[in-house]
Amino acid sequence: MKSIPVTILAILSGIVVLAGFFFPGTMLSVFRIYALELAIILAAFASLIAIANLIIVHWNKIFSEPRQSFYSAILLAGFLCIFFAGIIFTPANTFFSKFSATVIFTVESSLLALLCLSLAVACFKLFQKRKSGLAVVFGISTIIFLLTFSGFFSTAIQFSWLKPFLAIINSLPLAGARGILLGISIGAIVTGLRVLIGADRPYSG
Amino acid sequence: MDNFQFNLAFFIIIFSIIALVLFSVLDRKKFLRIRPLKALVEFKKVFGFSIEQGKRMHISLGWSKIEEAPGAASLIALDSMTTYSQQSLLGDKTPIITSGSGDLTLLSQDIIKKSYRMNNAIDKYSINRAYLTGISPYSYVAGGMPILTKDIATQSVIGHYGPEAGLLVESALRENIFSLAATDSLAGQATMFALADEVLIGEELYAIPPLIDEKSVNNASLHTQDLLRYLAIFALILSALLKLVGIV
Repeated sequence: MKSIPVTILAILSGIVVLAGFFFPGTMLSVFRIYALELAIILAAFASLIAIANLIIVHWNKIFSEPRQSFYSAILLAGFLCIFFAGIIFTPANTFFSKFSATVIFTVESSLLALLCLSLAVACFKLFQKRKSGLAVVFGISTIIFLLTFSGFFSTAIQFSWLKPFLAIINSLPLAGARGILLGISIGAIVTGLRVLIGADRPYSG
Repeated sequence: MDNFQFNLAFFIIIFSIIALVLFSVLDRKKFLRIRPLKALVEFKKVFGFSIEQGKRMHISLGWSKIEEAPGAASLIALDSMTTYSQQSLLGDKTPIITSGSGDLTLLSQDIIKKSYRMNNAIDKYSINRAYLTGISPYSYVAGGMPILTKDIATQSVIGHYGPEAGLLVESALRENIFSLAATDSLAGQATMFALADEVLIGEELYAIPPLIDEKSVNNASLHTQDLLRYLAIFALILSALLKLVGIV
């Protein structure tokens, strides 16, 4: 019973926002803009609450699991350092923005390098894990596209018979990606409509 | 958007709503069959064993905000989280839920609380087991990696991820944690295919709710997607043929 007003509110606002998109220049489109701005402000507040929640979780971890709290302590120290630096210098300060960006880019680059190594190892182990036709197709296509995108064939382009073959090969990833994206967008539309008609309620009310 | 795209979008939405409502009403006895997905069947088996062993599950919800374009994948993640967390109540340990955006964190906490309350298990709810781990893709993954300890046996990585989620799955592999991965991003799918124990490709992501929770509206949603897919295939082939004969 408690969730009925919330459901009605969610459905109504969804319908009005969608109608505002289809009927531009009307009151509905004005309401749509206000509703979206409100949603963005709410999402920003949700982020603040979630960050406060993250700090509480790691603070609790330091006392409840002292042996495993090393990462939690580093997270809290890093957070406090950046938080107070942001307050003192303000986010517009060049030193502050360069300092925080350098830390973030360095850590993210390291993680990306780690991911490259993990993927290389995983590719070698792929056939142990997946003993299916899809794995064979995946393996063959990886080798073919590594060759075609490496520029190896551009030096051997004097073979005119190779050109149409390469054109077909190069269009395959595009066709495959479009097929997958089409399926995903249809799924996304229906999932959104389920919320719109109240069949799916990702809130308790 | 030009007039044609505008009308097409309007048609797709109206058609989908009608199909969704009709299938929901007509398929109450579930006469329309759904093909099981091997990845979900395997995950269900391992998940069952992990509950018997008294181990935890890690549910990763992705980092997309609900109001953004990939928000549909996050909705699927929340849907699967509800089912898996309810099933986890059969065991001693409740799952750890991590997300990469504020709204997703609050929604997951809200859903979990409601679900535990309905199952008379609200005492099992803890704020320390449903939280945000980071607000950028890499910080989200980096925050999730230390969670994967020997206490956890299974992991579902469902939602919107890029290739960075490979790090989460790889960490799980090192701890012998069984991972099920499904994402709407192409780069993410390719990474998961190489690393995860079980992976769902493309639109299979949207087949998760009907396969793990057999409600008529979930079945209707999948059949509506199939119907739209057939229409898209028909339209693509027809337009290719028309172009071939020089009409378009």
